[in-house]
Amino acid sequence: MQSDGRYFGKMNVPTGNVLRYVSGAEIESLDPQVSDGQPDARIFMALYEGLVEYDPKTLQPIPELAKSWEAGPRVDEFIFHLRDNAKWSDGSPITANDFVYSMRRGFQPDTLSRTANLGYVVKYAEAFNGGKVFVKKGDQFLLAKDFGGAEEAPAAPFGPETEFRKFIRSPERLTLPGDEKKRAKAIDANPQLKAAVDGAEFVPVTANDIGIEAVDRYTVRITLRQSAPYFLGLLAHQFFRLVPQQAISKYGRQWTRPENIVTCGPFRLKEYKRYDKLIVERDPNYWDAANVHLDRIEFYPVEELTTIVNLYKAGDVDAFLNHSVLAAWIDSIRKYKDEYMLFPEAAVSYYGINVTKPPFDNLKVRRAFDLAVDRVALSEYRKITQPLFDITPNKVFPDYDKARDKVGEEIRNEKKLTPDQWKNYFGFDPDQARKLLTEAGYPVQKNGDTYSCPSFPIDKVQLTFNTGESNKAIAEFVQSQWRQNLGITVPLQNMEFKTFLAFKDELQYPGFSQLLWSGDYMDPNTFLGLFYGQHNNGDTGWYDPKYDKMLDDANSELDPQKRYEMMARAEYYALDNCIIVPLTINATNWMKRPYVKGMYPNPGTLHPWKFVYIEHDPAKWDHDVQNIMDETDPIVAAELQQIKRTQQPTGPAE
Amino acid sequence: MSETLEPIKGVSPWRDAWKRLIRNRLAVFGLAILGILIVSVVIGPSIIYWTTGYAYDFIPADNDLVKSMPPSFAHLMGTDEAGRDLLARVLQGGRISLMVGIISTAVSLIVGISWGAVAGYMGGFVDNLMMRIVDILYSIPYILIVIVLLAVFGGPGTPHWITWLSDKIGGEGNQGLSQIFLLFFALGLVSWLTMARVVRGQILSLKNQDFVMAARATGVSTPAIIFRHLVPNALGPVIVYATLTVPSVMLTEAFLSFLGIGVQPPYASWGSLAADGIKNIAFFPWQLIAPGVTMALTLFSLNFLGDGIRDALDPQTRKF
Amino acid sequence: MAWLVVTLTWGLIRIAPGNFYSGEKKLPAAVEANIRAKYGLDKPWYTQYGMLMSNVVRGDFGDSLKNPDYSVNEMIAEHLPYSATIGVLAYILALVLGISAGTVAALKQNSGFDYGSMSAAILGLSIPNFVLGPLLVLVLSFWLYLLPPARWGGPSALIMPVVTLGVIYAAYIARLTRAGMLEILRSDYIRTARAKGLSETSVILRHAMRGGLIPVVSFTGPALAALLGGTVVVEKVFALPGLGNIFIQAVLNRDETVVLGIVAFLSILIMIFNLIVDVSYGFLDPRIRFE
Repeated sequence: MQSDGRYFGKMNVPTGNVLRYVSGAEIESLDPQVSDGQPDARIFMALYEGLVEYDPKTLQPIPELAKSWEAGPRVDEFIFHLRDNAKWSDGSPITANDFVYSMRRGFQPDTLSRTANLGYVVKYAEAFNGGKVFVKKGDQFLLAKDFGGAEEAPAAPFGPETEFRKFIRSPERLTLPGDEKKRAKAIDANPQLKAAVDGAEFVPVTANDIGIEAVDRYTVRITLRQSAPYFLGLLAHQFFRLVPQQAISKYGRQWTRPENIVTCGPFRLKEYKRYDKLIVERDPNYWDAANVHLDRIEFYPVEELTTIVNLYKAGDVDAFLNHSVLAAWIDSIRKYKDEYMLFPEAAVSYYGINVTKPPFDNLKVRRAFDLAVDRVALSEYRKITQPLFDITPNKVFPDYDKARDKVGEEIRNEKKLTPDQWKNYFGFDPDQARKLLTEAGYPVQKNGDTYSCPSFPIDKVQLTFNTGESNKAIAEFVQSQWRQNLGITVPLQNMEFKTFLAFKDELQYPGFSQLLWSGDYMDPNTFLGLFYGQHNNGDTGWYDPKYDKMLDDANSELDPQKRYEMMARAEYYALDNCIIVPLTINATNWMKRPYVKGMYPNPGTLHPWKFVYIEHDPAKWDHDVQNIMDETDPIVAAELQQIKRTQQPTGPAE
Repeated sequence: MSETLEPIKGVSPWRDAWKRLIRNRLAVFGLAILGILIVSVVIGPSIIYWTTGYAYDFIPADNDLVKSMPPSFAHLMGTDEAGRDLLARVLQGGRISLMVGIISTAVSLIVGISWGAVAGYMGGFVDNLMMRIVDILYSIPYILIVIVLLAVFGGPGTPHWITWLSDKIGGEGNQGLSQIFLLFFALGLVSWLTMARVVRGQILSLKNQDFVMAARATGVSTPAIIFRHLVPNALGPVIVYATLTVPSVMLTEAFLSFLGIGVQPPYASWGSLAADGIKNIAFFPWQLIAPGVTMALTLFSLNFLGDGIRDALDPQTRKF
Repeated sequence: MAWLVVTLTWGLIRIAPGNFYSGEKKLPAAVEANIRAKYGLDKPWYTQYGMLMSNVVRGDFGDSLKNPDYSVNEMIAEHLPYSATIGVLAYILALVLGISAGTVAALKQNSGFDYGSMSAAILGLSIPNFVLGPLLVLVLSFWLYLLPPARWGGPSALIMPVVTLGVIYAAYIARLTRAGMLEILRSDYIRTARAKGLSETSVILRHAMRGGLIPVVSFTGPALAALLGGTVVVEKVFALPGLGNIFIQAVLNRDETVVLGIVAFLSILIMIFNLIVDVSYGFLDPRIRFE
């Protein structure tokens, strides 16, 4: 079908039910517990399943292998009731033991899973993954609460009272590093510990100790170390999807080879040529195969944006992954209203500030630089982003936005600011910026229309980012903002990706470094958690136990709205410390042909493939996709309803 | 008959060559185009700047309106995605590309001539050793090494003396310049090998001639013999090879910039401009056509010229 | 020699900052420790070098660091065919085009065809392949919708990559052939053949070509080496899963084993080719045979 100007380039409507999708970079491995890339995630969603799946629009958890579940009274335990008709691609049945095996295997140290830390909220998972040990004295184990841990209330009954539950619900045991040197160091540092450990035996934490249990053939119970209301949403992540014991025990690391692999998702592997294509076809053994619309999906691993768009334009692919339309092309692409998807994502861009290196250990200096950037102008320039003023992107978690607004009002009153002053308190205020910088000891001088700040140590600041078109554009923009508003020209340094990671990781960078973060799950905690803990992913060198406690308390709160408010408080606390310069909220920024249905621009650009289908009737094709999230697709809606019917909400809402 | 007997002017081989060169129409054509290009590249940017205010790094304030415009009277080659005039950028890029070509060739000349001359003159074990090294280096797939080298050294790994040099020349913190210096060396070091072989061959055939023996007899030191007597006489093939190296080095630099490990912003070379243009090929093809055609034209004329020089200097050996 | 190359490359990779296991998000400390232990990264560098060399000598490059399910040798075997196909086809194209154009130009020296084809050849040398490729895509994929702009596929997908890669060599070969033929055609050897009364065709095909093609043959060695560089570009522009693309990925991923494996493999390949070229001299130049 030739382009009639309405659609971009040439459109080749497939005659059958085959989707050709550009997935991005070549995947690392077909093992869902090992790789952590987004392209990998999308392919795993075709091949593997877990207890829950993402809703195609909202990414909230919907029943998948678990047909229903209940949450324990303190939201630190869950019971899942599994389907009894689910099978692996080799025909063998899926049972609760598969879940227990998969989770244990995922946390096993030599699996080398990169995403294991997502599951650390499961009791003893972190200890097992880190090779830690329990401390046994006589026949008693030392308890964490005796050495600084929190006091736990006894657990209320929840499900059958088995031996395992008795163990897992007993007060949390103390764990120490497995490595002798590290352990000795920890022991020596704490005299109370040293005394207690004398004469004790060190028992390694094993796979059997982690908080998952097969209560019966089709019931799984998971126990967490603390309340985590966001846990359910987390379970759709590929780390928690099932891996086949039958293949792994037989083939070891080679189990992912096409001739050995066994899968449990709606599709099974048909052909795999690395850097060329990965083809999956509908799995007849899948429990819901009747509702899987596509016969086949062809994933093309193309990373170059130019090539991706070229392929789409020539009609060789039907859809491609997010972030693939360069800002320079937007103006030309925007007019294809039936194909171009521009929606906010749960992904943000900040400049992290290295608070360990002066002069950025001075809060005023940090605030000055933060206030001197006009983010609204930045997003206008970038075209495909929204301005970001906080840590958590707005418009992605509507309930959290409400809570945050409420808390923001409270804080404004606490700070005794007028609404006008509050509006730009965490925004753009160049006068205040200059004032702060001057107060900090680096006076800003005005020369006609421009400013200068001669006393500022230019050699101690730099803006580091990794090589990339948009990164460069943003850096140049912000650099000119600082020059314009503060009179300081911050030198730019771009680096190749791996070099950049190392540089940031070791906190070697002076001043600012780019931090891109996309949420692992649909809860603000995935963003606020960036700065939680001593060696956090924020790479700013900032760590505050007070902040950690605020987040912990929030996560123990059972009422979801109240929890959001507590998190908002924590967020404002972090913002007050000005450890980042928030920049933008990413947009999905991808395209699909109008005959591809069931694929939505959700905040993670994750597509549960069983809902996707090819519409052959042009009258039913997608029009004006800006409204696509509000429209109901009858086929998808019917399928969703059927699936969700099995889950009756019980217990405190998650 | 009053004849004034003019002393017979011996025609030096250089004047001979020059005469032959002029007679070669294609070479003259190439020279002419090259001349135009070089002049454009040297004074072009300034002219453009005076008449229109466009510079290679000038982003107009209302650049939204002029982004990625096709060629027009206002912008003879169109604009790039930031709204910068493409003609200005192509000319500026020409400066960098030509500079890289010439300087890298100079580097390879210096290293290659010295190496080959010493090896050729010394002969024996030294010669063997030096040429074995050349052989070894020759068999390394250089593209691989260069990619690894530049991926490694571009960035905080850049050796301090390079950064010092570029700071002196380009100003503090001007990272683009240190990349360029790196490029000079990377490229120069890659092409000296054949130069060394060529020079060595020449030296070998020259070193047993009388004038060398005479120099030795009068006690001229070895380095002086090599560099002041032998090398100047070996220059013929060297010049030929040099004129052919420039375009090949420029191609290599363009290739590296295309890969993203050559010239860095704010500097642009034809290679990096082409890379930018290729990115937008589905939308704004002129962004590739402009630098691509200019570069092709330049290399075209360089090659013609090189051919002509070679024919002029040594009409018997039209190898290729 | 290959050993030297491998050592050099290994050194470079080790110096490079960054490692193969880091990603966007930080690794849990335990996992990182496990990875380092598994790959012996916690041992001193000379021990690691020793272990590496003892394996390399046996031809064992280990598994890819980034994709541990695959061994390096497997990867090379899997991706080589893509590069080789394009390379061979391009060279064949170059030979056919170049030799015929060069021969005819030599026979019709100074004619319009001669000037025309030699100018075309120089033009071919002057357009960088990464400019030519996208230009072809522009015309053939976007203006005419005739050929796919990228990715491996059937013959229609291969046309543009092969042409892009081969044009420059066609140009070189045309010039070489012409020069070689010109020289041979003037030689005594040919005069003898003509004097013997042989037909012009047989003179050209059986006698002149042999000698005239010597420069072409000697060019094959460096040509194949340069072809490698060319394939890298073509593979990148057309998204082909060949060895060049894999190599760049591996360098960017700091996938040491793959990089070393490919470097060693290619060095050996080049050496073999050079050897073949040297040997074939003997067959081609009748004059050399008597030396």
